[in-house]
Amino acid sequence: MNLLTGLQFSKQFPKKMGFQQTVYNLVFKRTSTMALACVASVFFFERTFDLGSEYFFDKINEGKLWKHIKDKSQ
Amino acid sequence: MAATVSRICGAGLLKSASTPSITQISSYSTRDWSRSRKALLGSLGVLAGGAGALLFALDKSVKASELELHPPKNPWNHNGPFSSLDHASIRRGYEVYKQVCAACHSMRFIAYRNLVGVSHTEDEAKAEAEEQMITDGPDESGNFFQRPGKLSDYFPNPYPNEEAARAANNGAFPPDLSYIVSARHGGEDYIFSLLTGYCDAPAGIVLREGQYYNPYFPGGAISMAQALFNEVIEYSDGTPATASQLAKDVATFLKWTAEPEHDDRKKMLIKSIGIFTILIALTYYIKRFKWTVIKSRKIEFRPKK
Repeated sequence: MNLLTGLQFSKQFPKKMGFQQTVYNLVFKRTSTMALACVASVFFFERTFDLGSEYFFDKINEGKLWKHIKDKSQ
Repeated sequence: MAATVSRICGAGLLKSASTPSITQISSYSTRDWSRSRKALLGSLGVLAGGAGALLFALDKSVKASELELHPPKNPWNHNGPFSSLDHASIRRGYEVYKQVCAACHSMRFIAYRNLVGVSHTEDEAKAEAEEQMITDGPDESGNFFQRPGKLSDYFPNPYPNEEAARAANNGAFPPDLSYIVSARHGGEDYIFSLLTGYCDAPAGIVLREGQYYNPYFPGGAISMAQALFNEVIEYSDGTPATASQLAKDVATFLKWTAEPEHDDRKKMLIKSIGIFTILIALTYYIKRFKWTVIKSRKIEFRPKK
């Protein structure tokens, strides 16, 4: 079965065989692996997104936030 | 079940439903109303509209009669959509509140723990709290007692109750300052202008005993004397304590007490802009993707020959 879909896929998109096919077979094909992939990627996305926007906020407000003046007041 | 229902109603659904819909439409028409009914409803409508317009005009005229100076917009450095409050200024503003404003104004909704991580470290906030004596109790014998403040204590009230505050201030009640920036038109601009805007009363304005003239205060006569002068206190961080610097710092501090969520809110704006950009792009793509079939379809009409 696997071989068959692979063959059909490769006929349709002959150039995009290698990596995309592997990802499809390993992740997107089964609902269970797809759901797992969603949960895992959300974890990493959320962390990077939060850190990124906090970095942006701190850059804009350089020297105004408590963490920037904390050591000066001691 | 569904089959039975459709068998019973089916015939009825197929019938033309013209009779009820026509009567329904005719009830919206005023063509066959009696003359008196039309006159009654018409005069009711005119009366209601007139009353509304009168109320609006009265409201407008009341506002026009107030002679007050609106505060100019100042370039606060927390004005931008992503700009946080200046926490060094909040810290100085707390010093001003503690040494000047707190003599008369309470701040019931701010506790010493709120200062931690905003303008003071935990140890500093504890030290600030311990300077104040708080009434606590009752103890085992039912008496109230005094103890040094803790982090969980709210800022102490300078007067035991409103009547005492009025009695000490010529009958004028010094308002609680916790949410004063949100509670006044003009917000922190108003606070700044009020604190720095004291001047001599113009000719013709009569002030009673214990009143002062301030053009930014509605009515002009304010019972609070000018409180901020150059060098009236000394800042612990060495900033020159001019009257306008004191007013700016205390206005920033009051902005924070009124909107403690200010910084988080602006951080949230950055995050929501980021997330919604991604979501809108995704939605746009999916829409185009789903509609390709319909958009690329061609419908042709070929009449039979």
